[in-house]
Amino acid sequence: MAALESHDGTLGVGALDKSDRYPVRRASTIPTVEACHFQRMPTELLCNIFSFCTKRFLLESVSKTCKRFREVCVALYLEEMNVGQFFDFKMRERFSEHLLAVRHIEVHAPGDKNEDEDTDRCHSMGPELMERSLGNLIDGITAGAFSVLKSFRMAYYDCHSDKYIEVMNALSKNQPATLRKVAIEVLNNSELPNTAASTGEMSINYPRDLECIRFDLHEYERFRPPRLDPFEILIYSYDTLKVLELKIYGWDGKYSEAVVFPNLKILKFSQMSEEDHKYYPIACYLSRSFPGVEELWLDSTEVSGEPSLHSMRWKSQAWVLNRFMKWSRMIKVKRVELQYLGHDDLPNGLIFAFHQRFAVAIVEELIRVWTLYGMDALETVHCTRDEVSKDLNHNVDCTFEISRAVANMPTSTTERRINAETLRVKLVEKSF
Amino acid sequence: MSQIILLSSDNVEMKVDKEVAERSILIKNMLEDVGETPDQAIPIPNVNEGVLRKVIEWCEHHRNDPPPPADEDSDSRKKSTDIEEWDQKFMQVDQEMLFEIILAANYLDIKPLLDVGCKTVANMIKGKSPEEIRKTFNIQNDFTPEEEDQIRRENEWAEE
Repeated sequence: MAALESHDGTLGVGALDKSDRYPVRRASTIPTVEACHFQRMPTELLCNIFSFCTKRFLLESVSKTCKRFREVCVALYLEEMNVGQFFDFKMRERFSEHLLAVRHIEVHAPGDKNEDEDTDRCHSMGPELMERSLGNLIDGITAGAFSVLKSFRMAYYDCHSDKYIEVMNALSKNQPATLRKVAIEVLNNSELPNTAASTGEMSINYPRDLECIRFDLHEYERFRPPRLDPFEILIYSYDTLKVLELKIYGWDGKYSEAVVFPNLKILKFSQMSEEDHKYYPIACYLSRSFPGVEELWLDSTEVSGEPSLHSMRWKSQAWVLNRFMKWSRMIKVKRVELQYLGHDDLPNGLIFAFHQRFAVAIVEELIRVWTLYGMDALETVHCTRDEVSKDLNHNVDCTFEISRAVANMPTSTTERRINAETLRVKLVEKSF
Repeated sequence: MSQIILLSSDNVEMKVDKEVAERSILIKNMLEDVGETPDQAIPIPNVNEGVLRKVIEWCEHHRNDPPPPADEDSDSRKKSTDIEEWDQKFMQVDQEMLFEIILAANYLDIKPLLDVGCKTVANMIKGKSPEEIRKTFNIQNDFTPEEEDQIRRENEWAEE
């Protein structure tokens, strides 16, 4: 591979090593009008343009266009690697000079279907090849080959977890100083490929000092805790964690001891269970543990449980509100995003216009309850359905702004009630 | 509504609502540093009149848009090349202007415009063969036959 250099004196591919990948504020040299055509765009902008193409297309087509595009495409291709790229030792040797630039690693389970054609080749990987790739990845991590790794994502089947836990342990033991994000997805165990089953005996360590954790149990069987523990991993980053995205079904596992995460600002939470006895504890636990959350995302199923807002028709309004009241303890929340699961068929001939008005009324009432019981800083609530329906009559998309005539922060329930009386909840935008 | 004057690289002054100009984070930060609305024109040395007018037109149309998410890796951005109808029409310009707009959006730090420009170019190359891309953008093939052979070998592991 030729040395990485740019044609126009602007940033070369080596600039990808800087911490921000697509900076728009970098003070780069702006080419003059004569130099302004595609081939001679600054590398940072070529990266930005190419980021909208699949890696596979970049490699198979764009990288064969000219030398300059080749340099950028190969660097981009190797910047984000999936485990399928580790099966070939020769490839690692050939591109070893670029392995230092890897910022993101994806690990998939065999059979994990992925819509992204960049990673889809993992889907067709046999278990043995995957095993070898994981081994190579562990070797690479242990040898410190990914010194600028920023994020790591792993999807695995829990009953086949040993090799994946080895990866996690290797990452924890040889953690790159730049690692900030970890995403773990535990997959459904049905229709498993034939791989070696987990012994369940291996001890587990987690990376530390992360800023963003995403844990997804959405596809996992609901009644048994997975080997990698979505609450245990948090503790290792208790004072650095800023963003947490947690998707659990009917979590039946233990909660770790109450630990306060002082710096967590954004919580995106999804729980499928309609059972209140599972819902309440986790809402209380998260409210206690994350007192500093300013942005709270509650997803569809949680608005009222499956099938979401529609169930409000046959469940009482009090039931819904009572459930959501638990979040009012997050007193620093400024913005709430509610997303509900959309259905185009309403039960019992419910009229959509009525449903939309009802949804707006519910959210407005919810805001009043939240602010009365603790959310003194609440400014905006946005409610929308998860997927926009082709029939506009089926959509709900509304934004509320909250203001108070009394500006002081209440210190008692009485003061809160007084404040609540001066509360203004204004529907600023709706799109039905 | 207060207005400011922008001065293009070819010394043409343009009056624009402050709110519109502040779609550019560069100008917004500059105005915040200065404190008050400046009487004098703000020089934009890297952007000529024609491009600056186009950029202002875009900012006018999108003056009430919410600010883009701060997180560069946010899912909403993720690889989608969907472009609003108005933006598609706005980007129907010759290639030189298209790349000038991208450069200006980068310099002025207008991320949504930068993304629209980059998506437009990405859509122009998507699905094309190397030869078609060369033809579309008048790119010279600077690979030697030996280098093309090497590329084929290097890509084998990824393309198989």
